[in-house]
Amino acid sequence: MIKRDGESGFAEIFGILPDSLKRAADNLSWKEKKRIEDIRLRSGRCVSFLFPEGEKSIDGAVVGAGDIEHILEQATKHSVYSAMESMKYGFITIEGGHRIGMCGNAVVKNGEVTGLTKISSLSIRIAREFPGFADTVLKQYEKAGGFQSTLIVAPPGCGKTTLLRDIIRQLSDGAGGVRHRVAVADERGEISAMSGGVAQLDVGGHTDVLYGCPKDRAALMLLKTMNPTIIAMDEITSPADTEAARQIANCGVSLLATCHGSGLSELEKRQTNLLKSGVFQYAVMISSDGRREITIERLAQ
Amino acid sequence: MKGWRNDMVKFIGSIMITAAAAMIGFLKVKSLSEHVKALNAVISALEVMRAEILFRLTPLPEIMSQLSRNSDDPISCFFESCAEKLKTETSKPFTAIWNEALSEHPELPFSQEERTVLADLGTVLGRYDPEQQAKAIGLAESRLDRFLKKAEAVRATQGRMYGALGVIIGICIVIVLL
Repeated sequence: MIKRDGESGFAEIFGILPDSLKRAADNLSWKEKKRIEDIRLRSGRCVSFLFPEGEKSIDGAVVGAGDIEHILEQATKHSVYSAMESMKYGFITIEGGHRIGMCGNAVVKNGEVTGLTKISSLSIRIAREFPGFADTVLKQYEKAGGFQSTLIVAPPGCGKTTLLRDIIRQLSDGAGGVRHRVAVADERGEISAMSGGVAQLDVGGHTDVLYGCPKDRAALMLLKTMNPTIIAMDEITSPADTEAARQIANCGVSLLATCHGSGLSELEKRQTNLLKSGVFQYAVMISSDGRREITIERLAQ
Repeated sequence: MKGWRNDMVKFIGSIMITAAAAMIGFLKVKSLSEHVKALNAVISALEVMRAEILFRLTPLPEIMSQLSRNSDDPISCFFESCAEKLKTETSKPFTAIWNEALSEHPELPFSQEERTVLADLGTVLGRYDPEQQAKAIGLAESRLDRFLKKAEAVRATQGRMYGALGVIIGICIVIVLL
C-alpha cells in the first residue's frame, strides 16, 4: 500500500488534467504541490489552487468547458455513466480516494435531482494520509481506559476524514493494546479509496469496508453481518444517519463518526438530539486556522 | 511419345486453370461469409456492451478487455486494440481511441457505411447516463442488423453464383486456349 501524502496525491490528480492545466500546475514548486488541498476549476476563469492560507490563481490558465469534460472523462475512466449515481449528489470519488465536487445545471424530476449537466465548476480535493494525526485522540482513549464513541466536528476542509481514517487505522491495528474490529460505512469511498476490492488508503488490518452504500443502511448492515466492535461513518448529516447512529449505540457497538460544524455550540443548535442522545461520549474538534489543532471534549450524558 | 507429353501438359494446365478460377470464385464466397460472420460478431459484442453498461455500470476499459477475450473473431482484435490503448494512452479521449483502433484494423470486412456506424457510436460511448448509452448502442445494433440482413441476402443469392461462375469461367478459358 502506498502512503499518500500531498505530493503523491497531487501526482495522481495531475494525470487527469488536460495539457493546458498540466502546464499551469508545473509552474508550482514541489513544496507548493505538497501543500495543495484543492484544485478549483471554474469554467471561463483561471485555475486556482487552494492552500491552507487561501486560493492562488494561475494567470493565463483559463479553464474551458472542454477541460472540465476532459477531467470528467479521465476521472471516470472514459465512463461518465458509471458515476451518474454519485453525480446526482454533486460529486464523484476517483481512484486514490480523491473527491471531485461539481456544480452545473441540476436536472430535477418529480422534485428530486436526477443528474447534473453543463458542469461549470470542479473542486478536486486531494486525499491525504497523515499517519499519527490521531495520536492525541488515541492518548485520550488510553487515559479513559479504552475507545469510547466519538464524534469528530470541524468545518469542511479541516481534515475530518483524514483524522477519522487515522483513528480507524490505529484502533484496527491495536493501538492501546486492543485490536478492534472496525466496520466502515464508506458511502463516498473517501475513507478507504476501495479499488478492485482492496483499500488503497490504510484503514488497518482488522477493518471491513462497505463501500458505496448509503451510510444509514450500510451502518445497520454492518451491525448485523460483520460483528464489529466499532462502526465508523463519515459526515452524519441526515435524520436517517442520526437514527442509524442511535440504533447502533443501543446495540452495544461503539461509534466513530464525523459531522460538519465549527464547534459544539454551533452543532448543538442544529443537531441537539445527536449530542444529547448519549450516543457519543467524546467530541473531537479540529481548528480551522490551518494549524489543524485537535481539542477533545467529554460530552455531558 | 512427344504428342502424349503435349497432351499431358495441356491436361494438367487445364486442370490448374480451372482450379485457379474456381478458387477465385470460392474466395469471393468466403469473403461474403466472413462479412456476415463479422457483422454477427460485432452485433453480439454490442449486446454484451449494452447489458454491461445498463445493468452493471461496468467502465469501458473493463468492457473492452472483456470483449477482447470473449468476442468472436475477427472483431476481438478490434476490442483488444481499444483495451490496450485505454491502458497505455490514458489521456486520449475515448472517441479518438475508438477511431484509431478502427482504422488500425483495415482487415475487418466492413463496408464504409458499417464503419461509419461504429465511428458514430464511438462519439457517444462513455458519455451521458446509462439509459442514453443503451439507446445509442441499441441504435447502432439495429443499423448494423440491417446491414447484416442485406449481407446474408447477398451471400445467399451471390454465394452459389460466385462458386459456380469460378468453375465455368475456368472451363471457358481452357476451351478458348485449347
